[in-house]
Amino acid sequence: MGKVIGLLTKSILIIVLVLFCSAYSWQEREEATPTEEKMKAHVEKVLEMWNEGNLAIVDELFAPQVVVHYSASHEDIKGLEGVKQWVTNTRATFPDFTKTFDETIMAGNIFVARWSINATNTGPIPSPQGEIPPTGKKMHISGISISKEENGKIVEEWVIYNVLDTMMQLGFTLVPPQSQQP
Amino acid sequence: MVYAIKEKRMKKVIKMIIRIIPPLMLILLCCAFTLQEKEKKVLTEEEIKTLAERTLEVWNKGDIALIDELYTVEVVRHECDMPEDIIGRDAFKNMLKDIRTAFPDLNLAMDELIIKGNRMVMRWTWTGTNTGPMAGQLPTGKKIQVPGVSIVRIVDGKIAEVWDYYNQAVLLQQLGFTLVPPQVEKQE
Repeated sequence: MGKVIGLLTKSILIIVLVLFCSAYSWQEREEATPTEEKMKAHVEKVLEMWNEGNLAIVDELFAPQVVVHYSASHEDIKGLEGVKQWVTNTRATFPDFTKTFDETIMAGNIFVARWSINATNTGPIPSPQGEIPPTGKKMHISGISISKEENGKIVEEWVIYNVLDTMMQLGFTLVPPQSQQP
Repeated sequence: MVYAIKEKRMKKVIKMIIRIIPPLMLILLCCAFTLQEKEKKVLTEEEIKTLAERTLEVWNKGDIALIDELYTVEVVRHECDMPEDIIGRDAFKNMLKDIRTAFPDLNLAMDELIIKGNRMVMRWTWTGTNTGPMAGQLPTGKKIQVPGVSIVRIVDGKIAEVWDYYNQAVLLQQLGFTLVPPQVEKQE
């Protein structure tokens, strides 16, 4: 009987030790949960805004004073109306616009994402030379966004990608400086 | 008699040791598993900042030797202006040489550095004067200023993977290239 109790005690001690050891490793992983949840919610909202054109989400995600530095635009995009116009215009040129995230990083109040876009150009393309009729071409591009939040809303964002790649996929032609000379 | 008791005790001790060994191994294995992850060289935020600053030296001084120190042998660079990935230190060295040939005064300035775990995100501005040939084009003599961003994955203290993004249209327009829309082409 004494032997059994001794063995039981020993076993329990060992199990507790092993559990403690495991709990220690688990703890580190669980710490990431609140950030991951926050990131997941953010990602879902961004995707709904872009892929479904839900403009109500703009008010949820962005602060009224937001400034977006966007590769495809010489001027910064400013304010909630600016962002709504940006989403509307993009979806008018590419009605089947589909954004997916390849990697997301949440560092404090900064959200960084590597994304891909698949879209077909079935709407007119705005350009400085005037509207260009739809090309019907499919495009696939990737890029990076950096969004800075204050009080849970985005105040500044950088959206950086190779616009040239998009234009070439839509059938634009690149003319080198030399060939312009007579 | 005394000898027999000693033998009995010995047997008991051996039995106990045998009984203890499996759980002990389990604990050791558990610890080893945790330690293994920590064994890899993990850089502190301060060390990652230094690493980021040193990558600028690679670009700005053309310090090719520094590539061996800062990047893994099989480093992969995903460049938004190249259809294929740049794989390995030598390929990166060649890419750097080409860019510094086209822009000998190339300067990459760090605008912001974001660090999270084994990732660093760098916002940068690339300036330079095109006084050398670029991809078969004669030097234009023009100055460029292009913003961009890189996501960098660090493994064992070295850069293992880089995603570089910037708008190449801005770069080429500053050099005097023009983009002709599809339908304008058809009218010609």
